[in-house]
Amino acid sequence: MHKNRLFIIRCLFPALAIYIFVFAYPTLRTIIMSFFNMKTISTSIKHWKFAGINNYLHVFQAPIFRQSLLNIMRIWFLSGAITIFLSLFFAVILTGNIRGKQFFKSVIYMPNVISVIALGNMWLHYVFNYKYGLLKTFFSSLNMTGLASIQWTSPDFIFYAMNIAYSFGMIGYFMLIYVSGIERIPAEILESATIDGAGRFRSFISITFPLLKDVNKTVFTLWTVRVVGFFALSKVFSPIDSSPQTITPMVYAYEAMFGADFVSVEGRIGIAASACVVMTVIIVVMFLLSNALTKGDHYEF
Amino acid sequence: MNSKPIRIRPFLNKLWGYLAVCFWLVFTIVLVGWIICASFSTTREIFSGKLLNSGFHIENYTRALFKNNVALYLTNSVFYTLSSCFLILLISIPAAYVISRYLFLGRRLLQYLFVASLGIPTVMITMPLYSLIVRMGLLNYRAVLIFLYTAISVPFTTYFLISFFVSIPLSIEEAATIDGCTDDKTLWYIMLPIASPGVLTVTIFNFISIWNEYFISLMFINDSKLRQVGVGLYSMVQSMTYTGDWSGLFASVILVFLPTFVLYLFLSKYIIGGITAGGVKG
Amino acid sequence: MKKLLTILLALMMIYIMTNATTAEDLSGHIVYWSIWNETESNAQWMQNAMDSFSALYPNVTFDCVWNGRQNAAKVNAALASGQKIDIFDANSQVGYVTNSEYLIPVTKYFDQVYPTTNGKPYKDCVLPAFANMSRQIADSDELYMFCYAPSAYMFFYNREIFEDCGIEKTPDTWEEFMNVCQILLDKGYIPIATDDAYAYRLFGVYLTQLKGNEFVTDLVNSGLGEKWTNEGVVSAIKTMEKMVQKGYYKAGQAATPWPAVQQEMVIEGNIAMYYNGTWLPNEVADSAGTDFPWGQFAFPTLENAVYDSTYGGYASMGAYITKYCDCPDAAAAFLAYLTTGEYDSRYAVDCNGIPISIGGVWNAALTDAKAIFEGYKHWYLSGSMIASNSELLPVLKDCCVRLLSGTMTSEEFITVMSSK
Repeated sequence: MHKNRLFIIRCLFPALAIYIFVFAYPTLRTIIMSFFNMKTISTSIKHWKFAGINNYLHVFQAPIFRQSLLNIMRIWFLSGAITIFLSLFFAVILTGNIRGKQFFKSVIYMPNVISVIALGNMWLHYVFNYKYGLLKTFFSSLNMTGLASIQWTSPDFIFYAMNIAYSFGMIGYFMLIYVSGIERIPAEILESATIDGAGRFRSFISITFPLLKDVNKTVFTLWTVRVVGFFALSKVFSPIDSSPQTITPMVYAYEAMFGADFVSVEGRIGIAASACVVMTVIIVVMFLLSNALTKGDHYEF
Repeated sequence: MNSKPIRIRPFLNKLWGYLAVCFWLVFTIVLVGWIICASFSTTREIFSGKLLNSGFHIENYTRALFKNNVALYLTNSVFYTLSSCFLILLISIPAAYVISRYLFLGRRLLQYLFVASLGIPTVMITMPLYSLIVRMGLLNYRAVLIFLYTAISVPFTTYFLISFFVSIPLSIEEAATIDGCTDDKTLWYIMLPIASPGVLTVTIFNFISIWNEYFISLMFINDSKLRQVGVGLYSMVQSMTYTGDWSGLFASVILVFLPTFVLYLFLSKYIIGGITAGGVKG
Repeated sequence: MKKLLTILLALMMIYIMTNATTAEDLSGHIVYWSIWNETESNAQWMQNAMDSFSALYPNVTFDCVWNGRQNAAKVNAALASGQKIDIFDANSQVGYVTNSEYLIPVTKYFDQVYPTTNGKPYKDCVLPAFANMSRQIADSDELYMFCYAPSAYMFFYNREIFEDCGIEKTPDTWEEFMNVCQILLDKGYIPIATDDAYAYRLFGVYLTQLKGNEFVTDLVNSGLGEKWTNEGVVSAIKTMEKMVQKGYYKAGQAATPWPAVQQEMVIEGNIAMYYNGTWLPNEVADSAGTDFPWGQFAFPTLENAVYDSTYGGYASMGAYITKYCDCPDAAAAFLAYLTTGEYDSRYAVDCNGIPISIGGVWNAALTDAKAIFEGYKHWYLSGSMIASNSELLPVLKDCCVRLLSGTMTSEEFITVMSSK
């Protein structure tokens, strides 16, 4: 649309100014830092030592960083499947014909509002407790001794435990996004599907879901951003020191920045910076992918 | 086709719907309920699985409240969060609108830039800024804090809102122009109400994340009187972890969670109701 | 005679005037950035000490910023940007390593006499082990920190359980230790336990005592690889395995999330020993109550080991004075005040900690630890250097948790650690 140039500039200017000052400068600095080594994050530029691509080489050769990438990939798929499916499921129900929508919406969203620390510890010390926890008592009462004897916090299972806990906390968040997306679709379109005799499920697949194309794209990207930035719950499930089962790139970067490592005198900030750059690249790539997958016209209503 | 399936089908669908949400409701209540019960128990009871064995320990809350100046933190939080949320919308809505509706050079690039910035951890953003701000002597100012909170949420909010503006038909704007609306009026009086579910959702998200934010507050505020709930909670949790006061930890978390939740309920019930009821028809 | 007396008097006057600090001498505004959170008892202790010091020296005022455990990082960023901080504290090693270029040496203050040191120079009033440690950390003859809040890893045990089993003496050698474990097991107790967070500590210290600190440092620095097939390392791993096989560690318990097991120790009273740091009684104080029968003993001596019982791993908090401080005398006087005399003992009692002054009062729960600290003549990092490579640690932690919970054998452990 050919429009008032001044209007465009006026609308964009504050956001752009903020972006340049608050993001562009630190981002550029981070990217540059990833090619250098320095003692601490506040070391001034004149003390930086050039390292070429050594930091990237180090990071991709470090088994624990590779493990962290593998972990977020698995979280993306496993927790993603559970979370997105359930949040969409609840969103559809809560935009349908049931009473008490506001109440149910609030209850489902509530876990997302509670601090991750409390939720995580509740899962660890209550639900997954191997002596008197919720799962143990539940499965025992059903005489499913195999399932009851799983020690969820042991190295073999803690990854799955963390995924379950994460999904629980995230379902409300994505449900809200889907609800606001579905609410955008005019009621007439949805009604016309049911009048034609299509069942709930069919009308959803053929009509509602495709109309959510843009929302899905947003969900895809936001889910990726969330998973790549996975940090707090990992720290709760592995307090004090991290474990291979729960480590994520963000935890790795954080420890490289603030960890009290006595190994390297040059400091590991350059390594942290390169880990951050890797994370950003992943997000951008996934965003481009989501654009490619949803090519075509936008639906308008 | 017999008439029975058509009558039963909507009923069954409704039933499944109710069953599913009710099951989830019960599940959530059990889990969150545990946290609430833990906040009223003693640490001994939490770790031996016998919550509330010795009755309700309200002192966990009084300890958290009085020891930790929670009332002051809450007041600060409300001020910082509301101001930031308002500013974020003021900045992001026009930007999202323009990026989604107007063709101009660099439109795609801007979107990518915003998305890319979501991937950089807050830590990496704030540390370089910290040096700058210290040198400018701007530590310990509320305005700086609000500016930072606003700034870090702008890319996310802009990106999020783009997808909501994108699906509004062009015909609406054309109609508005014909009716004599200026660009500004079109944006704020016509497009915004249509995109309101998205605006509301993203405001809720921003509110919660700023409310719980602690890293920026930790770095940029030295005076505890200016602290807000996120960093207050974080330091409470840290100190309670080292003294093994787990019941106090849960009490503090509930204290922080309650106002957020109440505000969320208020935001979603009254504001949604207001906008979609007075709503705009095509 | 008279002349001699006058000269002596004059000398005495000069001595007093140069060494005694009077209330009018000290002045300055001290900005203190703290590793404590405002609501912790340690912070309150510090605040009380400052108030009382200001009462004695009215020209000295304080400004506190309670940063919590991120202090070293925040301080570093602030100092790099020119922020005026006078004193800050941090874990003794971390604080020095991160901020060394901003610190001033405090050696001369250690030679001074202060009102709370009863006429002796400061260095004679605090545990000498910590001056040793400071010098080794800084790799210098100068001292750069005032140490307080000492800590160390040691064996914590439940006295009542030991009494019940007729164990009269805590073990001095590893063989005695294994015997004690057997006796405890036979009586139906869990001899030793750990949470997942501390599973690797016993192994780390065992290996350090066996092969020395440099060996462990080198091993850990090289990450995964064939150094883990060294026979000393293998024997250490096998010793841990033996303990699991004999049932001294309850199967699966090592995989429990922290702090469930240490809580269980004080709530159910079924676990006899737990290898952890001297902060343990404080961490479980809420559940344990004030009369839990704590006892401590030092790491037992090993056969054919490089270190004997005079070697110990310990640490402390360090309080540092920065070069931006314009009143270092006042700052040092405050830190000396804090770590000797009344406030030092208060730290032990109010904060469940350990005093650093020689005459300090020890907390009832930690009385055994006193002899242990006094026995240390040589220092290595508390809990050993095993945790110093943050890229190696998760893998090592995982292996130790699995080994100690009985789901991994020593061969598998070695295979994992030695494969690049």
